Amino acid sequence: MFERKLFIPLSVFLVGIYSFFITTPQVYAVACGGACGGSRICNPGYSCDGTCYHDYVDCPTNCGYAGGNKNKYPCGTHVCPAIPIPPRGTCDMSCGAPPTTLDDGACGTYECPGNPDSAPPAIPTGAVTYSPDPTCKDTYMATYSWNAVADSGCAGLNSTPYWAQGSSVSDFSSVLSGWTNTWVNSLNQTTTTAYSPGINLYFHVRSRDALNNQSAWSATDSVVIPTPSPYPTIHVSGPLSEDINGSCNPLSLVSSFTFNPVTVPALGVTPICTNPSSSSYECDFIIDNQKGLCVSPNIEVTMGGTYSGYGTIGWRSGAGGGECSGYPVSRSYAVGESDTNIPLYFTYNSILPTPIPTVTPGGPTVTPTPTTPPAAGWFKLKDTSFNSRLSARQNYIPSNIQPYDSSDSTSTHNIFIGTAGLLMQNSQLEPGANALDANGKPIYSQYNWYTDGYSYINDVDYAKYIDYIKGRKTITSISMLSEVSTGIYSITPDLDIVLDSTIFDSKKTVLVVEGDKNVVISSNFIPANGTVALVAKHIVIEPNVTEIKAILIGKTITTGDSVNALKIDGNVIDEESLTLGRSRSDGSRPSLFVVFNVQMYLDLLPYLSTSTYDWKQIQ
Amino acid sequence: MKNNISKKNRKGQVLLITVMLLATVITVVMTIAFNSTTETQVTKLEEDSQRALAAAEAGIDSVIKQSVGASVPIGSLGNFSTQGISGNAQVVAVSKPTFITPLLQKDEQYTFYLSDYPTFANPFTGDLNLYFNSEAAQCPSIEVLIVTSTYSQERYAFNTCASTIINAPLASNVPTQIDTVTFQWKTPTPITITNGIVAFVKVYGGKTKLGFKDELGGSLPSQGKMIESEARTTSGVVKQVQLFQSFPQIPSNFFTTSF
Repeated sequence: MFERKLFIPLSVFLVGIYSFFITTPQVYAVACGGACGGSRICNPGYSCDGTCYHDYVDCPTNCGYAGGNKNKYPCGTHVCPAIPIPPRGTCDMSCGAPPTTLDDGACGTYECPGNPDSAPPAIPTGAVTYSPDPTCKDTYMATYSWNAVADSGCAGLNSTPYWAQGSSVSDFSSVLSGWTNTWVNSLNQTTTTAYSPGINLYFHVRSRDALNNQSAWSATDSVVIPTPSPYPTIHVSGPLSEDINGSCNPLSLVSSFTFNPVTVPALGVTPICTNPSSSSYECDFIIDNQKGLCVSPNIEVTMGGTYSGYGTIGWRSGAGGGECSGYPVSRSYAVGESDTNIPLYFTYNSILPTPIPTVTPGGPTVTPTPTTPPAAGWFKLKDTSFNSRLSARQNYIPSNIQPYDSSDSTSTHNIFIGTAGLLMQNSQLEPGANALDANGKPIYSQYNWYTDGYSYINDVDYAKYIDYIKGRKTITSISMLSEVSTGIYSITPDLDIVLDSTIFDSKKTVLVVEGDKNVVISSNFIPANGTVALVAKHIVIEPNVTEIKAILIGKTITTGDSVNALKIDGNVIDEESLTLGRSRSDGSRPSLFVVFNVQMYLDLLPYLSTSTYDWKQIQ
Repeated sequence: MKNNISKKNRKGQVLLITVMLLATVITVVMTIAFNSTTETQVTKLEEDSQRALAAAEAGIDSVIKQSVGASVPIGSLGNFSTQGISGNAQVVAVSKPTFITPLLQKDEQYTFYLSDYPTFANPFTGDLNLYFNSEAAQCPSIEVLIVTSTYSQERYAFNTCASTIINAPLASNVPTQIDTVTFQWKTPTPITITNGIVAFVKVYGGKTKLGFKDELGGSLPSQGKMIESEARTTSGVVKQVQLFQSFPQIPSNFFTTSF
């Protein structure tokens, strides 16, 4: 069974193969280039023309080609012969021109190759330098410079080929004030602002060509504004001099002197003034150029200070460091200068002349202003206690003092000399800086007893005394001064009376002048061998009077305004506050000198006194 | 009989009543008379007393301006002699080892004599203690000026419980009784004086009496006149009065330089 089934298909197959080879003619496939004909046929895609050739290319006959039919080409790649056809326009072959397609007018378009340039110039290389600001040498201007670069393309550099940036922040998120933040045609740029020490500045630069092909930013260049070297100190020193009414002598300080120099400019200038000795001073002016304050290295200094009892304290014009007769000046100094012999003048107790001229070396000549007005007079008391009735009375003692006369002493600057007692005062009597201790407390007298804020109660005053003597004393009323003798005499004048001291010669008299009329002392009042106590409501001492020997007791006592000094030997009791009108020409001496004369009191004990009484009934 | 008896009884009664009435009247009259005499006597005594006191005071007035040692018979004054008043007024010197001033008010001063006034003879040489702060709740300070026979001066100042005088030393807080006055403070040490003729002591800050005492217990110079006056009436009434008048005192306001 099986054999039969297999036999039939196999027979069919074998018959077919036999038929094919026996009944079909023989054909041979010829490859390109091979001989063909008859049974030799070319491979598909080739035609036979004795040999097999390639015939399928149909070259165009226009659009730049020669055209033609099928061409017989040997085997291989067929290339149609081309005939270029120029475009209608002209291809832009300038630098930077991109490839373009132009219409050739024949078979379509024409591809122009162009002349493109996208290459930027090279990146410049920058560098930073700095230099002091000419107008502010403690700050610096930064200059950023870079090298010139060439363009690597055909375009060449732009007319403004560089762009530099300066910033105080490293990311250049902001640029420096005044910085030209755009393309420039320069190889450097300087900051328009000067910068203080310690500030960081950052810079970078880029370039571009004419086609605005821009390079990348250069690497960041930075700089730290440096701290300048400190300015050399300005040094001024010299002696201290006291000017008393135009007469100058060395001044020796006894208490601390407060300097008050004024500089222009003031900001950034630190004056340091000291007294290396009691008779000299020195000042160093330190100009701070470390903080970028733009302090000028040249300053103008007006020296000043405070020393109780002195008005103007400062430098003066004149030869050398200034003269006593000079006028107040300021002085100009540059850093590093040293002036070592500039006297500092202390004008005793005076008022400033105005205006104060300023002298700059080399500057215009300044006309001196009027001289300083004379100093106010001062008083001195000997051997007495004192009730200062004037609140905060100023009685400044100069440094260079001279005695009033041989009875005076200049061993101290005390207001009260000799056997001085207590100073009663409600508010402090001001003796000036020359009469202070190391703690700035006043030294009034040897024992320096004084009160402060003391309210004094008068036990007997002018009016009470008159009432008392009328009741308890033998008092002689007179109508003419010539009637005066030893004792208590009372007169009630209708007019002011002028005293002549000779009428009191060899007498011990208390003269009571009642009423409101003035008692005038018009000439020196020195009774010979006489002792006088004058009790009156108003006692007027005329300006020419220089010496009085009496005890003056009055509701008001005036000394007269004068340059004459006045000495009162006896005592002065003014119920009100005597205004010292005396201001002697030689201000180094007291203008008023009161000497307490206890002998005169003892001489007048029976008259210038009261009594106490103690009455008892024994039985 | 009955009538006679009745009459006799009636007469006795009248007599008895009359006697009683008379006794009463006499008693009344006598009482009035006695009282009147007593009142008259008292009035006379009062009059004599007043007259004696007035006479004694008149005696003081008569010698107040005279010097130590002066004496005035009271009877020589006015019409006291006609009134039978006798007695004397005399000025005596008081010299004791201590002296106490009247009460000095704030800012007053006392003139204390260290020698005989007015000659300033016998100047004091020695150590003088000065006492002060005699009043409660007061803090006086004092300033002392000693004047010598050559008119040289020495000054002292002392504070007590308040530093009224700046820089003045503190006195000694040693309560001391002098006579009847107790002083709370005294000079730290006696003030040594040579030939002192007068001292001026001024009080600041508070009121006080001042006490003076010689360190050695010697008598201090007289500080004034003691005037003792005694007046005696014929009825035996005696009045004695004393007046101490200080020597001249210079008011502090005339002594301290002031303006």
